Amino acid sequence: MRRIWFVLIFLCSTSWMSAQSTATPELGLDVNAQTDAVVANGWPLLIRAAVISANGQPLQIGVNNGFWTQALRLTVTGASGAQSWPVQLLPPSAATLSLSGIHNAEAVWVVDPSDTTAIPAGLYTLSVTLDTTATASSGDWSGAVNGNHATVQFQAEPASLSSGQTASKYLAFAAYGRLHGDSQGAGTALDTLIGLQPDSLEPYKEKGDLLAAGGNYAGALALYQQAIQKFTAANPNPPEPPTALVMDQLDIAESLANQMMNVNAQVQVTTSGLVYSRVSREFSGTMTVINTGSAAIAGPISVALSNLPAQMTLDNATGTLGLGGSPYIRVLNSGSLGVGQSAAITIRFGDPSMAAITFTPVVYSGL
Amino acid sequence: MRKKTFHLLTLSLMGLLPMQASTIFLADVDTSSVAGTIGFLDFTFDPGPLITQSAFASISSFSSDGTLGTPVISGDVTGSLTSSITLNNDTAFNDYFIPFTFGDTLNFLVTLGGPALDSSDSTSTSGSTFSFSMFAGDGSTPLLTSDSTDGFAFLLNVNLDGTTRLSNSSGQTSVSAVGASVPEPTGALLLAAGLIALRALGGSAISASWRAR
Repeated sequence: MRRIWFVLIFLCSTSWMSAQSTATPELGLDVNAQTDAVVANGWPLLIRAAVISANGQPLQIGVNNGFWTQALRLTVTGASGAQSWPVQLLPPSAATLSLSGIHNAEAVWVVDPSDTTAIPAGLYTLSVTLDTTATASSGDWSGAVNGNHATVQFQAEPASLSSGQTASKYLAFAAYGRLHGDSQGAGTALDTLIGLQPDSLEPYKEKGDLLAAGGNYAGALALYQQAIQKFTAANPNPPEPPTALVMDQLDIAESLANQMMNVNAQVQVTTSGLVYSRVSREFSGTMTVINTGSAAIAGPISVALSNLPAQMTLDNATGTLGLGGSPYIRVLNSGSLGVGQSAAITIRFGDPSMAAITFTPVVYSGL
Repeated sequence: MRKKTFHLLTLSLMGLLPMQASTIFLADVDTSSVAGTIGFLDFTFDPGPLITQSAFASISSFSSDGTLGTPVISGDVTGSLTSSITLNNDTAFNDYFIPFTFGDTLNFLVTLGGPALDSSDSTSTSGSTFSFSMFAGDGSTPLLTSDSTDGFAFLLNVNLDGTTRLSNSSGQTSVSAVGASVPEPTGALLLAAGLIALRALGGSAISASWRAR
């Protein structure tokens, strides 16, 4: 009797362990970041298949003689049946896909704006399948899974766009620009959206991501800070904090910290007097950074105002070093500050107490 | 006008004005376009936020066909505009704000002096700045300046090497260096007061744009 119990326990354990180790992929499909998108002719179409490990276990997907994305099949059906759209599958960053609980991946198909003009108006359903049954590399996952369906409603662009349509349009163009390495075009689309919808958080986040991708972490951080400030202004008592925004911001702040370099030993910071204006109600003056070292200092160069009393504000700050951190102001945007050269900038302070403004300047290259 | 200018000249010669090594400026403002306006004059002299060496700004030989009111003083400021005022840079906000009914003209001497100009050290990292502004009756609408952001008619910066620098935003204001005095009362201040007298007698305006020392 006791032996039977041992056998039963052993089998259950084996079954449980087997279930835990059987990792399978799971697919999620969206069009222009929506599962039920409305797209106008002439807008770009970005079809994304996100791939995760269903149970978070490590999972490797590879196919013989090619990229893992070759195992994906995208189908589009409309009222007239299967469609043949001029989709371009963008090459993945690696031939083999390694998934885990923290590593996900995505495949992206693009339809150029010039090609979407030819797609007839109507409702279309998109679906995706990942099938490595016949092509899996040795030792990699072998099987087939279907993703969710996504729909896209094609229509002529309305003369007047709703708020949601406006956001969809410019975010799609921004994403299209980024995917094609057109940072300027992406930035222009996001700036346009920020101008049209200054209270919307997403374009700030997207622009921040764009700048961070180009190595401009300081600019990215400033945009994330704006996004968080807007969130806080719109939600004074939020049920939960904007965790995703804050986490991304911390990542950018960490990248910035790695990028920027304290060059205080190579410079002298001086200021003029700070005079109070009865018009602006600010104290203002000029701050100058002089390269007193023996080598040029690469731009951008900024000065952080450490230990600025809490009741005082640097009103024309470029940003702050993290949440609640010291304000900083950019004194040189690009190029470098040669030996003996100086860069000057106007500084403006809010100081309702009219007390003496004091701070410790900390100069950073790369900020 | 001639009598008042002569009186101010006499005060200068009596040694009632600072006689340290210093730099003296003559400010001459054509206020005819706002004559009759009840407003304010504002003089400030403030330090910087880092390490600032001691300095003062003195206003003397004030002369105008306008009418002065009762001033509001903030910080380390002493004296009266009818004789002379001295603003020291040892508090954050040193201000002499006085009601004024504008006439056709006003002029005065600004003397910048003190250790920051006499014997500038090598440890200070902030200068000091003098400002002069004119306002309408609400005390915050600037007059006779193109500086719509801050409303300053002109600024005089005391640099770290003891030199001074002028920024003039007022087309109606001429500011000129009239010399640097030395510890003894000498011809420089006499010359300055003399220039005011000449101006009061109808002398020509003096160039507004320059760099001192």
